[in-house]
Amino acid sequence: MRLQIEHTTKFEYDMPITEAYTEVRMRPLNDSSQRCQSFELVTAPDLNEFRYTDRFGNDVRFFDLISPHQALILTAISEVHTPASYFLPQPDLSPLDLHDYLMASPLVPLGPALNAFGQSHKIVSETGEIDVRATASALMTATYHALKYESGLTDVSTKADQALALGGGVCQDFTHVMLAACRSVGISSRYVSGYLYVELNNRQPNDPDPDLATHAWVDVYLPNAGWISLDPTHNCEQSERHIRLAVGRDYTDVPPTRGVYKGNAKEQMKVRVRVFK
Amino acid sequence: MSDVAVQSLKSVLDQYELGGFFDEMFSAPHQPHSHYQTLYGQLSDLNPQSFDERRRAADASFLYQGITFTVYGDNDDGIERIFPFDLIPRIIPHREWAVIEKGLVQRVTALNQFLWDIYHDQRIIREKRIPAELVFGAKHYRREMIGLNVPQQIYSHIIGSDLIRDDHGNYLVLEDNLRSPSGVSYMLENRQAMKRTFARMFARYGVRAIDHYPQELLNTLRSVAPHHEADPNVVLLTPGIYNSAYFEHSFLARQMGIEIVEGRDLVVHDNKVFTRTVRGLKQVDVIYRRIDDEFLDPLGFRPDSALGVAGLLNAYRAGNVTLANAIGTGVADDKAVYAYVPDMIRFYLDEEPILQNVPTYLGLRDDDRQYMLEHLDRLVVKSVNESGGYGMLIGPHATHAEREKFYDMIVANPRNFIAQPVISLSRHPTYFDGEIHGCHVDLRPYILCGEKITLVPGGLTRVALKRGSLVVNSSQGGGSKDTWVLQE
Repeated sequence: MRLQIEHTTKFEYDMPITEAYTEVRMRPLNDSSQRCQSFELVTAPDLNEFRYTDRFGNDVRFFDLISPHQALILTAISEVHTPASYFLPQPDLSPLDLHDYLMASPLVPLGPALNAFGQSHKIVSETGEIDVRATASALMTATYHALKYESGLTDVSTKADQALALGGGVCQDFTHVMLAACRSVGISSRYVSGYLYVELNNRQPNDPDPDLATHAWVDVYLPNAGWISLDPTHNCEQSERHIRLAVGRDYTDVPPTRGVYKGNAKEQMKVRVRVFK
Repeated sequence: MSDVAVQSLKSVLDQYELGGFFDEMFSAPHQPHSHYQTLYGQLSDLNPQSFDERRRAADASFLYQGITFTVYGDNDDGIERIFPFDLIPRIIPHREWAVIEKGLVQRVTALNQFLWDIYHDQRIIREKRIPAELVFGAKHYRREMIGLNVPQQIYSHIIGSDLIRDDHGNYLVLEDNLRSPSGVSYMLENRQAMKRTFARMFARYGVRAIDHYPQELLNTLRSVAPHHEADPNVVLLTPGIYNSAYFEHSFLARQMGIEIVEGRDLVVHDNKVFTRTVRGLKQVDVIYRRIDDEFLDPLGFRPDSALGVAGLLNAYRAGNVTLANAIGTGVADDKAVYAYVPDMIRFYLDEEPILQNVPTYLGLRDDDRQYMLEHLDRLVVKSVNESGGYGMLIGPHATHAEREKFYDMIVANPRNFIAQPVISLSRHPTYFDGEIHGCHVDLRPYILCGEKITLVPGGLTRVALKRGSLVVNSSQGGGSKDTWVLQE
C-alpha cells in the first residue's frame, strides 16, 4: 500500500530559550520489505540539518538553535510503500543484539509477574524446544486480553510491570508487556515505533486517534531466519496499514524527538500525525 | 659533642625490620640491593635533624602550592588534605624498567584493540574468548559507541596501570585505569621536591628525567586530532573547582599551555565544538576530558547533567572533535573484564603476556564463586565497578559481620564481584613519626597512546602510610614517593 505521512511537532516556550539541541527519528525505515520512497524534514526557523544512522539502523536527524527563541516547528513528510505481509530476513544477530534483545531494558524490566505471564503461554514442540512462532503469537493474544486500551492511564515513562499491574494502557504499554513476556521465555524481540493508517470511516477499537496516528508493536526474531512483526494492541500481524519508523530495545531508544535546551521556560509540545492513502 | 649530635640516620636504618616481605631497598637486614647502595650510604651519613628539616621544607612547599586532594567519607563531605610525600625515593634499575615498559606497551596495545573490537566486529565474543554478558553487562559499556570510528582506532590515550610486586618481587598488574587516571601531577611535583631537597644525591645517580611528561601528553593529544589538523586546538575539560582532582587539571593545562574549560565554556554549533572567546567562537579539535562519560553530553547521555556540552556526542560521532580518552573505555576497567586481559593479549597479538595479572576469581564462574564464598576469610573481594579502594573486603582483616554482608551481596549479584588472594605487597623504607618503617607500595606508570606509545620512566609510587595497611590509594590515607628509574 502506498501511504503518505505528515508528522508535525510544535515546541512552544513561555519564555525565550537558548542552545536548543534536537534529535529526530522520523524517517520511515527502508528495508527489503518496506520501501521509503521519499522523506523531507522542514524546520521553522530554517536550520542546518545533520544526520547519522544509529546502531539499530534508524535514521537520525539533528540540529541546533543557539539564539534565543520561543518556538520550533518540525514537519516531516514521507511516502512509503508497505508490503501486504511483513518479513525481514536476517540469518544471524550480532552478539550485542543477541544479548540486548533478550535482556531487560529501561522500560522492560523482567520481574516475577512478567516472567510468570510469559512462562504461562510458552508453547513447546514435541522435541522439547520452544516453538518461537507459536509462543510469540500466543503471547501477543495474551497481552491483547491482559490489557485494556485506555489513554491517560499511563505515560511515556511507564514500565512493562506497571502497565501489567494496571491492566491497561496504550500501544506503547502493550508493546512493552509483550516484549517482557517474550524475553522472559528466551525469545529475542524488539520495539517497533511507527504509524498506523486508520481509515476515517472504519476506525476499529484500539486504533489511535486519526490526528495522532503514531503506533508501536513488536518484532520477534525467528532464529536463523529473520524478523516477524506482531501488533499486540490489535492482536494481528503487521499489516499494510503499519508503517515502520524505528526499532530499538524499548521506547527509550526510539522517541521521535529528543532534545535539551537552556532556559527556565515551560515547554509545550503539540504533535499531529496524519496518514493518507 | 652531645649524644644527639653524633647520632646519624644509620642507627635508625639499622633498626629497620624486613618483616618477611619483599623489600624494595634491602635484600637482608643492613644489606641494600646494589642499586640502593649509594642512597643507603648517603642516608646513613645524614643526621635525623637535618632530614627532618628537609622533610618539613618539602611539606610546606606542597601546601604552599596547594597540592591537595579531597577524601570522601560516608557522609560525602569532602576533606582536603595534602598528599603526604616521603623523601626516601623508590629506585628501579634499568633492566626491571625495560620489562615493565615492554609489558605495558603490549598490554595497552591489546586493550585498545579490544575496545575497537567490542564496539565493532565483536570478534572476541563471537569466538567465545570472553562471555558476552561480561562485556555487554559492564556498567561502562557504552552502546552509543557502536560503529563509531575514532582516530587511529585509539580509545584510551592516557592510561595509568597499577603494578604491585609479590613476595618474590615479581611485578603484577593489579588494574588498568583507562578512563581518567589521576596522580601524574604528584609524580611531577615529587620530582621537583626531590631535586630541591637532595640536589647532590640526585647528581650521583643517573636518574632518568620525567619532566617532559606534559610535552609528551600534548604531543599525544595533538597526534589524534581529527583530519590531521596541522595546528590543532587542544583544551582540557574539567568538572570544575569542586572536583577532587581539580589541582591536577589546572596543573596539566598550565604545563601544556592549553586552555582549561568547563562545560559551559564550550558550545556545539553545526556539529562542531567551539570555545566562547571575547572575539567570538573558536573551534576545538581535541578535548582532554576529565569528566565521566555519562556527564559529557546531556543530549546523548544524562539529561540532568549540568557539567557537559549538549551535542558533543554527535560532533564526536561525525569525527569533528577527538575526545581523550574516548567514550566507553571504562568497560575494560571493569574488574571482571580485567581478568581476561592476558587472553586479549593472546587473542589480538598472538603473544604471551609479559606482565602477569593477579590471580582473579570471578563471581560469574560457578567454580570460582563457590571458592570465593568458601574462602572469604582469605581473599580480597572487590566490587567490579568501584575504584579508589572503595567497596572492597579484605577477608583476613574483616569482621564476621562484614564477611556475611559480602557473602549475601555476592550471592545476590555474582557478576559484580571478583576475588583475589591477599598479595603481600612489597615494602619500602618510609619515614614517619621519627622512624623508618617498612610500608607497602605500588607503582602507577603513565602510558600515552597516540601516533606512538610512550611512557616517561617511572610513575607514581604510592605508599600505604597506615601501619600494616595494604591500601595505597590517596583517598585511603596513602602517600607517595619519587620514583627513580636509573639509566643503563
